Amino acid sequence: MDFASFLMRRLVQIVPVLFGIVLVVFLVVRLIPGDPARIMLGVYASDERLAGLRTQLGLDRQIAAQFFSFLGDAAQGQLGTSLVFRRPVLEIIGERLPPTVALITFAVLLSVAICVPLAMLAATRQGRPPDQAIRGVTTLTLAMPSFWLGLNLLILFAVLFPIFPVSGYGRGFLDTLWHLFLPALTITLSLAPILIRTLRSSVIEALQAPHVAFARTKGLPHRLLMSRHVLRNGLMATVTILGVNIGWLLGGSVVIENVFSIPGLGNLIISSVSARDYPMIQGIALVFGLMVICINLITDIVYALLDPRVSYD
Amino acid sequence: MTETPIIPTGRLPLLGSSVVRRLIGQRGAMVAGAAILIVIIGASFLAPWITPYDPLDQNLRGGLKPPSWEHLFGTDNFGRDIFTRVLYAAKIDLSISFLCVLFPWVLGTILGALAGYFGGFADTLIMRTVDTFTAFPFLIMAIGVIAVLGPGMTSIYIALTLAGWSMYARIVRAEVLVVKRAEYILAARALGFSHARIIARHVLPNIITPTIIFAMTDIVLVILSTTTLAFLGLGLPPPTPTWGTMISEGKSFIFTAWWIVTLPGLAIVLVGISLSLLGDGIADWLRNRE
Amino acid sequence: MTLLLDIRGLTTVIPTRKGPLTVVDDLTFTLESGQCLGLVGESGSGKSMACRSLLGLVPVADSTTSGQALYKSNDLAKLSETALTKIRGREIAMMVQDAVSALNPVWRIGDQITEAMLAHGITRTRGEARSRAVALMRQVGIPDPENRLDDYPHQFSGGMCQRVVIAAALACNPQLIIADEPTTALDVTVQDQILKLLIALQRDLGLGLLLVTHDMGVVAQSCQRVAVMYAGQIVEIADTPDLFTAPHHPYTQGLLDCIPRLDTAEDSLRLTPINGMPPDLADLPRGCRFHPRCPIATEACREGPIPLRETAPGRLSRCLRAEDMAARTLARVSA
Repeated sequence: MDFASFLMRRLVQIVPVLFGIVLVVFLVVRLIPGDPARIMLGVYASDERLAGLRTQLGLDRQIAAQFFSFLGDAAQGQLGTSLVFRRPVLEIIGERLPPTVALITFAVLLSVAICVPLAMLAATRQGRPPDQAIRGVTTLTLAMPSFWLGLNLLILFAVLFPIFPVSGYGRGFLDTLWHLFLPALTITLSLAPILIRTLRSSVIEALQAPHVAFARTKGLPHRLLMSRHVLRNGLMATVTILGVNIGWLLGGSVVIENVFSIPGLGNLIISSVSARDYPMIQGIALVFGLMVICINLITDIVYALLDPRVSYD
Repeated sequence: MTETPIIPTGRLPLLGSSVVRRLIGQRGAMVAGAAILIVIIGASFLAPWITPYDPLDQNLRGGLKPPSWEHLFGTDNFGRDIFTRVLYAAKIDLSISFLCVLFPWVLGTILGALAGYFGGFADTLIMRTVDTFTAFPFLIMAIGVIAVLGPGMTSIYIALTLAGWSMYARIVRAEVLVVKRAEYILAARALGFSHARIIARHVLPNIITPTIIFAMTDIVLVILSTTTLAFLGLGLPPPTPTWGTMISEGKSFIFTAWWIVTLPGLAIVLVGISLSLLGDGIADWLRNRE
Repeated sequence: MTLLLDIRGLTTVIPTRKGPLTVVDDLTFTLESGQCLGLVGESGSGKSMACRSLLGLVPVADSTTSGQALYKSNDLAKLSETALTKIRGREIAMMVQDAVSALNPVWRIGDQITEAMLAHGITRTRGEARSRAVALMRQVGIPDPENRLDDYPHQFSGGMCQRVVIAAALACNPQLIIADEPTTALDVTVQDQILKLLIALQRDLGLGLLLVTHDMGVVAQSCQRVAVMYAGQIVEIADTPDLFTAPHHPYTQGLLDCIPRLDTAEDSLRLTPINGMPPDLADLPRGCRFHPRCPIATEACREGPIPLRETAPGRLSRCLRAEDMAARTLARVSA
């Protein structure tokens, strides 16, 4: 089976999951105890307004019909109107998406830049002080909640030593980088324990692999050996971990955005929860689910491209 | 599953206490973890005797005081003694977290066992559901559920259970698929035992160990999740002291009173580390028994 | 015929939890160009460690290698890591045991053959390197080399992988090849092909070949000279015909007795294994390491380190009673 069919198969496998997330999002809102319209509009809403909202949300129809119209709307990108902003949900999500994407991208790049060299160092000096130091520190950060880590970083680097700004997103590329550095660093430190640990084991495994021993007999200089035979195999592990953990990363970004007041999707969902803007919550949850599915698909494809042993079955 | 990164190869994240273990030995690490945990739990129950303050007692004149002999962790913006609140919060946070591991474990095990044992349609249905649930970031799912149900203890349990059961289901299903082919299962079927009996008495006891090992790592991550939800304003409503809400309240005061944020967090980290050490030790012991 | 290897007293010690362990003890032999020297011994005798010690590739951290290992005029035991990398692959090539795992699964085999060429500067451009690789692949008997250059290891059979490994070893025109059990992991029929290929290449290119194996049959077929290893030491070195007809060490005799023979009438159906087990390197017997299992051991064999000495022109043995063995064989043969 060649690559095109592999791709087709994976796409087909996604369909039920896509259906599922729309279903879950739809159902969860219907789980609201009591009358959703009344909850959304508040206790003092008039009966006409309640009736109007019910019609708008389609609550007066059969549940199945409701679902299919919801599905249809969603497929067309019609995710409803925000009760707070009074604009289409999709529009607002579109505005808030870039900061989240920027944050995650920056965090991933920073993680790779920091964790890969550290993991290589720990693996090549296995058992010796650098290795133990790295593993010890990562053990500590694993038990730290990311919001606390972020706040402490703020205290250290924005209050005590005011190097970085306390909050916000910034304007322009460099300014944004400067604003996003501490948030991205927080995510990196949370991700580091698992990333470094797994990378370290796969590098250690790679170092002891027979093909590395053979490559050594060819008289390849150390750096070439590392980059060609060890790192490449180890990077595949990184790609997999990052891909699999993207859900965790996205969830974590919610907290980070809250701590650092970044105007992204995460912050939006929090404020929507307190404002009971259910269409918005629905829309954001759906978008998050979609992002995770897409990134998982991309990871699978990248992995298949990297590892020629993966059969396209 | 929880606010945790997942390792794709199936190996569980050993919340590495390896450095500590090298220092004081494997047993020593486990004992140290257990000891710290016992101290914390004990302190949470003995709180009324340990501190003279009331966790809800406000004293606005004495607010935002830094740590001192009078107030070990300082006071917050309402003048409440933070050390006292940390101790009282311990009981709440620890019990909630414990239950938030238990419920997903139970639900996930049941569904995973059913999927693995019966296969076919049940398996497909349950596993597609698992896939769907795992498509949502854990925290997003929890936030969504609490948004819908409103804040409160029950909401937290439901939210974390819905967000977390799928990982247990996957593990259990994988284990059951292997055990299903064992000779003693065939023998039990031949003896005419009902499915329910076979699952309960023959299948589950044999697969329980990997789930316990996973739960050991899970509990630390659940603590992080519950405190995170509290931080985001989705935990127990004030004035109930929980670590997450305390840190959230301190957020506005990081410029003037860093101790409101930093010190309660240390409690979380301490609990996390001790559970890691203990959990690693138990996980190793269980693994060596197999 | 130039002298390629002059090894004297090469000793390798590795640190273990129970203390330092001498895995290679007083290794001494010579190898000339165009010559195939067989290095035989059981598993655990130290043959692989010996090869790795020569190239400074002992896979244990903080190991020490002492003694002299002259390759032409360079003492390999005293060279720095940087200097050694220049010799590895370029002057001395090594083939490891399991060819399939010796190849990196995510790199194309063409790249794995050319990388040493490019690293050592044998060729200057990738194009040159690739055409050289195709020629090498043809030389080792891989069909359709131009198209298979870009294949991956998992697309090759075990025997083909071994040929790729040979091609990679030959890539930089080395003078000496160390082949560590090159046929052990292969099917019997393929073993024969690969061995014949190796010997033919060695002969045609005038290379020195150090052939490590546990199979006496392979040695008889391919090597002009044999060195026998036991418990980390060389116990006998001789030209192949001499060794096989009149061994100067009881262990060698034991190994020969283990080979099923179809040419003698007497007791040809009964195999005589050597009694006992090889010693634990951490707990060696005093005196001769073989004496607990030796049928002709005497009191003297329990005393002191036994040196490797010349027992006949061109023959070395670590047995105190080598001359007695020679005499007995002579008696048996002439009887």
